[in-house]
Amino acid sequence: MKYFTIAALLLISMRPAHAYLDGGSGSYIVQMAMAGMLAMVFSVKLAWQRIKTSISRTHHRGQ
Amino acid sequence: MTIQREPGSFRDPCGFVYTRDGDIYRQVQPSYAANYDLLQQSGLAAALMTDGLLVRSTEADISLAAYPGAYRVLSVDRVPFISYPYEWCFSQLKDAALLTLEIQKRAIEKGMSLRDSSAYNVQFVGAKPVFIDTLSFEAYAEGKPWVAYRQFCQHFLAPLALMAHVDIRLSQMLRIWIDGIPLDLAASLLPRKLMLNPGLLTHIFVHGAAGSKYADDSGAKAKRATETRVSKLAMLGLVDSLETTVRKLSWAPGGTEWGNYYANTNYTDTALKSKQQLVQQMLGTIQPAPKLVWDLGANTGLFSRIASTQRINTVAWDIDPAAVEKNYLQCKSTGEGALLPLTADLTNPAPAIGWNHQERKSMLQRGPANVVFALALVHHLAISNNVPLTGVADYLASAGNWLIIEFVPKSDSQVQRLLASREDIFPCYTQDGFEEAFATRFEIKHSAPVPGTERTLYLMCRR
Repeated sequence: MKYFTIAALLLISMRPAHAYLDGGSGSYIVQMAMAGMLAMVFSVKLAWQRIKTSISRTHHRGQ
Repeated sequence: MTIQREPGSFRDPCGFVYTRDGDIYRQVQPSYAANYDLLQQSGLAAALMTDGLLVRSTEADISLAAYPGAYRVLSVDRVPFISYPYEWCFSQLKDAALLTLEIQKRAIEKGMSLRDSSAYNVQFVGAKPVFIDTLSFEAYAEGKPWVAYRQFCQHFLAPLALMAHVDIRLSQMLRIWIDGIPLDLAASLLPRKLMLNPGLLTHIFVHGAAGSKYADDSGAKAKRATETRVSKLAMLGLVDSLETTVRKLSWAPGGTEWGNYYANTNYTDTALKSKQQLVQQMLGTIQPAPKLVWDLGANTGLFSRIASTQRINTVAWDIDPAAVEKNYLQCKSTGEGALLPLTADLTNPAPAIGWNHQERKSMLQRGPANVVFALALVHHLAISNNVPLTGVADYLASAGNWLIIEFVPKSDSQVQRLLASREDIFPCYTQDGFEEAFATRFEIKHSAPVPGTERTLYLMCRR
């Protein structure tokens, strides 16, 4: 019963108000499990893009 | 007054599409009111429409609602021709995927998120993908995972990965699985070495395994998942990761049977130009001026462009994914707006599929075209596929009102090639037999030999 309640809460709590699509609990779990990694990789990527843009600007100014 | 609800628009309780006296409308239900207001007030809808990413719609008088109780009624611009993902070439599906992700990124910036990511939400106007489901947006609640993540992977990423890494023809799996290719199936078909690709590892292999494992999960892992949130940064990271994975997938059309067709024909340059002129002349005599042309067996669209360059919406159907890919890439590079290349096997054309056989229409249900081109096609249907000439005439009469068709006699080297490895069981395949068979369904308006060949071009009108 405890597990049933947990599963039910999981499904209910994760559905947006107007969702008509079943996102799938496995799909939610993958997103949650990968969230930290995705955020970190994306932050590094953004930072690297900023550095590249900054270098590019400096280079153009020098020309 | 005729109101007809679009049969494929039934899943979403927030609204539906219908036609009223032939014009397209979308009824927005009160349950979508808050999201609709946010979509408008945030400026997201206007920005996406201005940039041509979202089909243009304007608010219409509420009295035009299909049923009482509408929150809003939208008048929606018509897409010239509705096509489906299993008819797209690799780059069309890839561009549709990238459009969906671009829209999701822009939606998040404006405090919204896509609540579905079906490939059927995308249509093509020429070579330009356009998102057509105005009600796909919902308020973004930070911390919530993306409800449409699995659907995106099933509709876009899995078929693209299979087409790129296993076989281009696997796009046809989308005809069987209308809600996209199950990820566990895709994972089982993809080479194991692709697990070294971080994007495919996460979004296909791990995602597929998790889908199977937690389909009926009620365990502690599911509980732990509830304790983690997907931050906005992680959500943007997810979309970025999907985009990177999609962008890295590629497929180059090789020298397939039809991809090099024009280099392998028995036409001289003069004969080809004469045939183009004849087609142009015949097309020019058709009244009223055609609005939709289907070029069946279009290859890379050489003859389709006779119509599309006159701004006639033209669908260039071909069986070869390489020819369709080349045609689409050419359309993209030149920005052609009236030509839509699509894949079709005319011996087994797209059927009506989905709920009650009505969710997605068959090829013929999306016709008839005003004019059908059937150039260098009849011998393939009659000899390679054993269709009697009367059967070919029946089919083409269902496909269009006017017909520009080429008869290729047995003496032609292309027909000789088809007969080289099989017995000639086609005594009726003669020019007289062709005219007799087609006379039952069409009136022959004009015919002319194609100079420099043994072929004849006909202009016919359906009886």
